Amino acid sequence: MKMFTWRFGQFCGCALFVTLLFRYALGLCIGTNRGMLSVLCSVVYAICMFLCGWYFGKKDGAENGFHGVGFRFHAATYLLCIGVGYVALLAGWNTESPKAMAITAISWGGALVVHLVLFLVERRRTIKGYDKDDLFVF
Amino acid sequence: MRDDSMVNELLEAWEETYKKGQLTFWVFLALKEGSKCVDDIREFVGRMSKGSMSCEEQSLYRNLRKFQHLGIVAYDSKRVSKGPDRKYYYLTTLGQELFRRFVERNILIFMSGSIDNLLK
Repeated sequence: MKMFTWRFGQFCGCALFVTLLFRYALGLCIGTNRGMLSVLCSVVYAICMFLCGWYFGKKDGAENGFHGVGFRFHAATYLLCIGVGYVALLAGWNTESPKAMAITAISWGGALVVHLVLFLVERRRTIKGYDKDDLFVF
Repeated sequence: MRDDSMVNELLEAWEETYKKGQLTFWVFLALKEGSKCVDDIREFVGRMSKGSMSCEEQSLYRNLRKFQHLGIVAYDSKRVSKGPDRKYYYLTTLGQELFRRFVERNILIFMSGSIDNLLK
């Protein structure tokens, strides 16, 4: 299975941009003590990331037909969100507390592991990432 | 009259399911004859199936890309006088072996005497 497709790359680029924008906006909100605005930022960020994944994931599926139950996109989202969060923390930006970040990383990581198991189970029904049931169906 | 309408309805439903899997066979048959570009494959399928089979261009491209990733088909790019290079697809060794075994197991049985008699 070709893991890094053009659409997946586009998603990663877009998600990185949105995440950096979110971290910057969150830093401003926390710095000026605007609690409600930071919640709004988080909601908008979650919606943007979902739409990014939806759009590029659908395109990727239509163009390449891989049967990956969205795991690549989920793993990339996790790495970007958590990774950029920790980079922001190390860079001294205003972020949530390290404890809150660790709780998010661990609980989300647990969900990602469940998704990985599902992905590995589903992969047994595929040949090189293509669903056996759809392989020779036009 | 009512029976005839029922037969037609059932026939359409059966053919729709049947054709989804059959198109791969026709595409491979086209490539077995020799390397072809997408337009040539579509023309071959329409002509050889006497118009009973047809495939959308985009669907054909998507499936050829899939077969290429699987190593069943490959292509050579050839220059054409106008526009971008054209891809001429052909069956790889794996594709030829796959097609040969598929035909042996699923097509040639219809040519045995007893089944041939039943089909007449």
